Amino acid sequence: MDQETIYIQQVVAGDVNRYAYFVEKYQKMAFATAMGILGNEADAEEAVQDAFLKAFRGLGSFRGGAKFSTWLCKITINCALGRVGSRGSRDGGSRGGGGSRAGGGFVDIELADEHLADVDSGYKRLNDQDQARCIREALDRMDVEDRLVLTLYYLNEQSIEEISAATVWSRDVIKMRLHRARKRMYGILSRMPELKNV
Amino acid sequence: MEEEIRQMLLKGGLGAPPPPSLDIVIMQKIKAEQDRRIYRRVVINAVLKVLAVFALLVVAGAVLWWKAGRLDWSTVGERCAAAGLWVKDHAYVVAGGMLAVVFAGVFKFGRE
Repeated sequence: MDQETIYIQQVVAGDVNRYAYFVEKYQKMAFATAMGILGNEADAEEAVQDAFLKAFRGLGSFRGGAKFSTWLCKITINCALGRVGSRGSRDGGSRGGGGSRAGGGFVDIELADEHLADVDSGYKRLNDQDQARCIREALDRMDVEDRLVLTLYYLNEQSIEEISAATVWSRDVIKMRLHRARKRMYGILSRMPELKNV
Repeated sequence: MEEEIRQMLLKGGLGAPPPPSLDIVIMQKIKAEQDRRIYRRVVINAVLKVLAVFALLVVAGAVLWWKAGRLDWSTVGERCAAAGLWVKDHAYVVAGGMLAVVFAGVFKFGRE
């Protein structure tokens, strides 16, 4: 029996302080996941709080079929997506609103592989502030799913299997989404005037 | 390539560290949830105990009454109806008494 399983049993038995171990260990992963979907700290913070609370309530029914981190990731995704839904119906949402907006001057393009290097070299010539602004704009214009898969894979460093367990996507779908998300990000960047003129 | 994309995402604001007080806030909520659970369990236990004692008293009274040979089956219905009427007339007293016992139970067990 591994350490986490023992801790889970202790929490279920009433030793609530043991839960601090999970909060400490996984808050960064959960926060990054929520940020990937919601794109702002306040919403992400609330989604993470909800997720940990839901995980605590459901800990008794956690059978250990998956890793705790994967299970928590799944709950976090659901909490964050729930907020995207409520925020979308409230104000249309900014990041997380769903998809590239052709009306905003950008079209939903996937850049051909041979142009990736051009964008990359143009991007590298920008200063730090411009780079950050361009990436933020590009992320704003991407689908929630694209941002999520990039976050899980590149920032949380989760494997395809773990992402598959945390989402409802198959391995092939995840690989395809990763590929398309990368190309979309470069595609959006390629349309930015800062990167065109360098 | 992977590291480049990771750096780009970090620069775009993803992967930022959580606020320093996040874990404290989460643990406060978890403890409040645990307190609510305990309180709920204590209230339910107290109510069940009161009901059990009440049922036991009724059964014990009936048995003693029967053993004493004072149980007249022909008047049981009448007596029950009279008891019902008494409870109805003294509903506030009965409800108050039961609530007092429940709160006493909650107060006692809630401190554990």
